[in-house]
Amino acid sequence: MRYIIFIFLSLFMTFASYAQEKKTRDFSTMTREEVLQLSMEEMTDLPIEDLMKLIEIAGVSSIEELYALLNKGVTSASKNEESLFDSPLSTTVLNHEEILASGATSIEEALRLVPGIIVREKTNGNYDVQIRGNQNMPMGNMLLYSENTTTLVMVDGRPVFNYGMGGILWETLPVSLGEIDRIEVVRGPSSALYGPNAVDGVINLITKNPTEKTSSVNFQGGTQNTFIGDMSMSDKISDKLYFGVSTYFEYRERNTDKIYAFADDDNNFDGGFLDLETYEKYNSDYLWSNDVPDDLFVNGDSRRAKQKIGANGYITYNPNGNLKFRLAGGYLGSEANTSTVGDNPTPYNIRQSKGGYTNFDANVYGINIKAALSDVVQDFNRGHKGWTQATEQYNLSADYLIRMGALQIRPGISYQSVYYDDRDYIDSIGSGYFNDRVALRNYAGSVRFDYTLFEKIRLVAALRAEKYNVPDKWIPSWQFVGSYKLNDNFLFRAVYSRANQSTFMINAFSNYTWNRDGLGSPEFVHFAGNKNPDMMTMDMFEFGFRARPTKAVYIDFEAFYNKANGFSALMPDSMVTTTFVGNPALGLVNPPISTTLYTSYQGQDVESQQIGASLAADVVLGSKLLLKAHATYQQTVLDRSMGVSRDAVAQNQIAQYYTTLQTDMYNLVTTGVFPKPTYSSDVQLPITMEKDDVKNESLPSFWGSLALIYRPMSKLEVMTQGYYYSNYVFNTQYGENKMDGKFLLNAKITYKATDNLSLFVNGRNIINTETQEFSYMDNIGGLYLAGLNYKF
Amino acid sequence: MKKKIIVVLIVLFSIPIVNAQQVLFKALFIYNFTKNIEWPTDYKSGNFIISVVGQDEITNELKKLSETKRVGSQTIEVKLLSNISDVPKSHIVYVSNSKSSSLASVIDYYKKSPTLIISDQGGGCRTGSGINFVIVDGKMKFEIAPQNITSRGLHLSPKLTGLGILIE
Repeated sequence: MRYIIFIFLSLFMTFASYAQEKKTRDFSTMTREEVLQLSMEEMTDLPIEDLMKLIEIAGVSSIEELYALLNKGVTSASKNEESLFDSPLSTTVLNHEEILASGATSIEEALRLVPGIIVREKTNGNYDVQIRGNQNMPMGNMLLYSENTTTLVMVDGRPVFNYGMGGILWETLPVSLGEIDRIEVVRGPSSALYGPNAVDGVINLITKNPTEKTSSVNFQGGTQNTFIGDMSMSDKISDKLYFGVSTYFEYRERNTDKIYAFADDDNNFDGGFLDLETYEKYNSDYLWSNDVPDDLFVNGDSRRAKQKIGANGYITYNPNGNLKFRLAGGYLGSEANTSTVGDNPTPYNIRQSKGGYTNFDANVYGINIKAALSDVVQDFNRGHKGWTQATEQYNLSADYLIRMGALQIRPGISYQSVYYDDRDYIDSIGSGYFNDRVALRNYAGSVRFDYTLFEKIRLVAALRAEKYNVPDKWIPSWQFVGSYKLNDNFLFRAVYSRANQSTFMINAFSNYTWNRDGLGSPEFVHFAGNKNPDMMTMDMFEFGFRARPTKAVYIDFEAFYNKANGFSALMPDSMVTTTFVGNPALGLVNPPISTTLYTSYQGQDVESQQIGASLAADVVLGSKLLLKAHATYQQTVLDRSMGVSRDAVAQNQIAQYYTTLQTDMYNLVTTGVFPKPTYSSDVQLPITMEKDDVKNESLPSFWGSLALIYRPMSKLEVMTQGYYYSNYVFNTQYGENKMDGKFLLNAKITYKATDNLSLFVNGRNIINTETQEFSYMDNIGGLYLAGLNYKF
Repeated sequence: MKKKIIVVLIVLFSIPIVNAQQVLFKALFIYNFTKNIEWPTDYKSGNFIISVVGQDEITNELKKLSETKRVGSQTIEVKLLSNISDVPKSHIVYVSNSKSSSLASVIDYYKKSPTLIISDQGGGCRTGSGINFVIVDGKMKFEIAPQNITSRGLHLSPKLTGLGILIE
């Protein structure tokens, strides 16, 4: 009996102690291995808070983390969240984690991970970014024409485009890498979704919008006095009200303080890098310009490549499920020493910008409403009078998604107006570029149909009609897509789309006289706008294929053909020489001769045709290794290409009357007969000079990237990226410039010291191939940095 | 040498163990959601139906759970949907990652039903699911869009909202 009592008591004690242990078990002290050994029965009755503690201790396997990188959502391709795999358009998403891992020091550099985008660095931190190309058009023109004017960049859906002369002033984007949640890229004409200038595609930078208390600090610094950092914090005031603030800065120097000077055949100068003193001497001795270089690069600040400092803030208020509001705003000051938008003896140009923006988004009973404005003063060409502009941009748009079973219809309206005003920044009316407050406005109606049949076939039609004030007409754009999803692992799609550029301020409103006093003939060059300009338009056919044969492999292929025309260029209308002013009877013996070249934005016959393909693959090569690769091949051919510079046309015009003028001037001396008061010519080069099948090789025919993310242990991550582009030929009014291809090797090693703190070393172009990536710009060598990411 | 082989084996076998545990965690999450969400009265009788869209290991874990656990007084029944319209009266529909393309159709089909839609894909809540599993900083978490839950007539406990990543 005693034995029975003893056994009973022992069992009771054991059970009681077990029950006590179970009841008071502290999950936060469990190791990961212990958690992984827990059975379902042990965890079923846990409250959700304790379950979450266990899950946090266990973490996900490294391979699950890598799989997650192959499983992203996207909103930019359909204006609706969908799986990236199902996107009807050529679409890529880079999320914050990938951007951070890549070691990219800027948004532009991160885009080297995106298929179809080529990124070439001009000076430290300043880049040329193109989606599939179609730039440097027409050939034989100013450097400005090499800028990418056919990609629409947006921050949270707000266009941040340079409507002054087209393009993207990347340093003026009021966002830092640390604030970006993801970058969505849509390749191919997308005006039907986003309006003009989404010709080659759209880059949508989407910022984080935390609804909980978070804070983060990111910093890195290194060679070439490069310092980049940002800080942000967010919190919630109540369950309905959230806010966040952030600040960021960037400072970078070039690896030289010399600037390039274009070739000058008259003075046997072949072109090259000069120190400022020599540049100033040549500029003066060889009559390159009547600018004073000291004004361009004050106190030797030619060494500075880029600087920006700014702050952002937002408030989100969601009073109930049917009403959501977000108000964001920010202020930014920036400067970039990069390729010029003007026509100067040096391709280097400092541009400066400062100003703010406000962005208001609302969802009211399903209606998406956006209102945005920016107010920024920009000096596009420091040291040159007339280039400073007060710019304002206003955007308003609304759309609504109607779901009717398998059919979705999204009607929308939008309005945009952009103002440039130079009157406060010029000595007198007439000395500026516009001499006025000028405006470009456009409004549009759009509708998008999205129909899914049997969950396999998807048909999309997006149509948009846009009314512009310059030119005063309606212009349509469209997108038709058909996709067939064979099963969950394979998708085929075909796209036909049309998109167009808008006109730009200088194309429409230029009213500027360049006084070339002391530089020889022509003494004046007049730039005039065109109120009825052509709008560059592109039609594209695309075939795409996506495969996800296993959860470890994601393949995306696209082949495209596009045709673009409606290009414009600043070209001579006429050349006029005035022989004297006043009364010849006063005995004027040496009449002053003054020549003016009148130029305006003229439509060009040239048509560009491009054929190409991109292949991208993300492959999880085990629990610790992810491979990300992409490659693009393209060929661009021009028909009806004149390919001559403004100077060639001008020289031909003056040649029309130069002999007569010379003879008449001689007669004045020998016979006393006065020449005619004016001599002029508006002759254009004969159309027979236009050529077909001319290659535009300003874009390499091949480029690609191969990146490996290796996580040998939970605390260590190594990212290496090889980036390559092939030879290209840059064709501007300064000549034909053959550029070598380049291979870059980037690497970043990150050590996760704690859950909150990561330390890293980061090398860009670590093999230090110090060569030019972009014509006439810096030899870009290695950049070596170290830094930290801290969040709490 | 023997030691090395053991180390390698541990590394190799630890992956499926961890992955299996992730699936179990998701199933436990789903079971826990039922404790923090209240269905309308007419859904409180009969079996508690959890439908799964797409082949997913979670089906087995949920079935194991259903053998020992109930939601209130309701027996849990797990069904694998081959067609969305197979089970019109589902309390929960879990759309697996491999069938994420069906998510919009599922949401549309159940738009007037008190059904909790759970997804497992990037941006699932923005597409319209109530809860979406995500991996953040190497940890499994869940996004929650209260509007997508309460608009279907479900009552959501503030605790659950507070524990998830809120998607407005």
